[in-house]
Amino acid sequence: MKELLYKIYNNALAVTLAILVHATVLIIIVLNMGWHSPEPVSPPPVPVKAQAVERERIEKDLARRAAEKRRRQEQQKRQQEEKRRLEKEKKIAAEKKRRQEAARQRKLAEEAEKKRRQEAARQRKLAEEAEKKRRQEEARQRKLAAEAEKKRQALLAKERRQKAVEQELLQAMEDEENQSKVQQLIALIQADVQNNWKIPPTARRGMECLLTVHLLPSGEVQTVQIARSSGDVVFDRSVQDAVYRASPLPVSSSSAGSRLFQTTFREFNFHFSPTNL
Amino acid sequence: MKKHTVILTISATLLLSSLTSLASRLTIEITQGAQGTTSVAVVPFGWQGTQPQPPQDISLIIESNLERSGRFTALERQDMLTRPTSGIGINFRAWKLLNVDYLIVGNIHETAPGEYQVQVQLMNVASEKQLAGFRYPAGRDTFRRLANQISDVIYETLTGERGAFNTRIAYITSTGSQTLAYDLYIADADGHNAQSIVRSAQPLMSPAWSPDGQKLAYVSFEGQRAQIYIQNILTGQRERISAFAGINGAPAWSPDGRRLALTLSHKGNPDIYTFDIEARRFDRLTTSTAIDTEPEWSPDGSHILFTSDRGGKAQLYKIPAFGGRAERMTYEGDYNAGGVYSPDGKYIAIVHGRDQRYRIALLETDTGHLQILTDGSLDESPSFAPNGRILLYATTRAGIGVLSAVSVDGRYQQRLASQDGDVREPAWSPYNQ
Repeated sequence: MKELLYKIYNNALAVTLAILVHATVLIIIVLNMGWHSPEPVSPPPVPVKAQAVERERIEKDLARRAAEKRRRQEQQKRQQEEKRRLEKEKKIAAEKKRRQEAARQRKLAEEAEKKRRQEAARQRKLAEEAEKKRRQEEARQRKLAAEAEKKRQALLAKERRQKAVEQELLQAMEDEENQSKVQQLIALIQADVQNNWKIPPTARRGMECLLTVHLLPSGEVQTVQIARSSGDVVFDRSVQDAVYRASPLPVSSSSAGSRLFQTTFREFNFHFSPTNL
Repeated sequence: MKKHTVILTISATLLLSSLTSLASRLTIEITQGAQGTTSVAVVPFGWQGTQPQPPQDISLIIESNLERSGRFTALERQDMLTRPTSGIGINFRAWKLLNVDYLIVGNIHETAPGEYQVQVQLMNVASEKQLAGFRYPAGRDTFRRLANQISDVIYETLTGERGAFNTRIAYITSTGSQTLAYDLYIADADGHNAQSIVRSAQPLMSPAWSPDGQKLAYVSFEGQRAQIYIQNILTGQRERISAFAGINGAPAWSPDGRRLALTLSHKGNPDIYTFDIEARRFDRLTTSTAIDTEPEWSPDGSHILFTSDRGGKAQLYKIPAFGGRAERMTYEGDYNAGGVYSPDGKYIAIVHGRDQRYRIALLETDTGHLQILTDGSLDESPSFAPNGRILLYATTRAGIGVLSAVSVDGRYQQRLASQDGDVREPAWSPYNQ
């Protein structure tokens, strides 16, 4: 681009110089013309054969003048041609200059357009990025809000649960005596059932059976249901029988008994999973 | 009731409701059980007939069968407070107080002279429910068999394992003081109902059941030389398959019944051979300069177990059934011989000799762990019941050979119904087919 501009600049200089040179030449020619304007000729005295000499001189003078006239005419013609030529050259140079200028202008316009487009693209991109950022920010804000809400809810739920558990605990174990009573009863029931469980020969490591039992307030086993079978008929029967054999289970022997029975021992589970097979 | 209660650790989990969900409730963990057998009461069956007694005491047979398995303890009859003959109107609490787990009640009705109908009920004392109930016709001669069939049904219902009471045993006896007579007997699995199928003035040895239970292979010394016979039990028809010079001994059937493994010594010293019954072809399996004998097939038929003294003392070896390299199986004690596989292949019962005592032991095939089961000084010829639960073996009582049974956990031993004379080499039949 720079190079191109430099070339254009150089051309302009050349044209100007050419114009100047031509103008100078023209001036010199015009001045010369002044110098060559007709001047009185005073012929030197010729002593011999005056008449003849005079004619000869006149003829010569006439020829000279004709030549001079021709010369002047030619010069004039040359000058006109030169002028025309100069004008033509000038015209060509002007045309060239005009074209170059037009090209330059076009180029400048194109560049400007390109620049404009690039700028527009850049602006668009910036706008898009800004929009994206905005959206991301919005999403982030939403997420933060949701998380905060979730946390709040979890906290609330936890509080509710804790309260419920506390409530349960309070209800189930109104005092120290009640709590130890539950543990004691569990241990007794467990021992009773274990003593009455005859592990059958088909029992294999990993076998499990979950039973749900319903007791009468006296501790007598009312029903023993298989909640989750071991898959082995004999094994399932052996665990059911163990609970039946252990009946009545030791669940109520104090004033708090009936309350404990309602909350804990009316219906509960046994999970059988022999560990030493 | 013999009950050794072992409680190791007790772990309780108290899950209060609403911790996980509203539906969760207290769950008590049970990880230990009581050691001991299941207690049964087989009440004498009721009787309605023209004779004062039924032909057989079915309840006694059932009781004895169940006890012999080692899995059950039976309540003595004199301890029974009541003697119900059907499942209706039973006072379960009374039986519970006697620690009875299951009650077997029944009655026998003579429908016509020599024809009976037997009704049996199996009651669960714990749940106060009937577990099984059935009615069978029976004749005078099938009474014992029926009792064994009932025993099988009860055993399978209560343990989940197939019973092997309705099977038979074969064994050899020798009787007489001046001149001995030898008999090959077949009897019920409890030793009753014995019938001689071969009698000889010369020794009989090594009875072996064919896998279909139809034939017996055995060694006979008739004509003063050892020979191996195969005899059809029903028809009595027999066929001599081997009578080489020297030893012809210890026949054992392949699981598919097509071949016999046996011991022959006509090429110098005793070696193991197989005999293709249809092709009548003998193949030699071992070629050692030691004594190789007592071949026994693995349950899958892939290899043969045998006793050899190639290492200096009698020990068990095994060799691929179609030949190959023999591999030693036993290292403990001075003497390990007469190995037989349990039906599931998990154990090998052997005669284990140590400190001049020979007892029956179980060798765990996978681990090589050895457990001594019997307490005699000259116990031999172990043979598994087809359910692998009981081992029958020969022992001596006051210098005379008798048969005994031991549960594979070693818990219960019972001498079988007494036979005349010296009894040896019992062989338990496969399941009846």
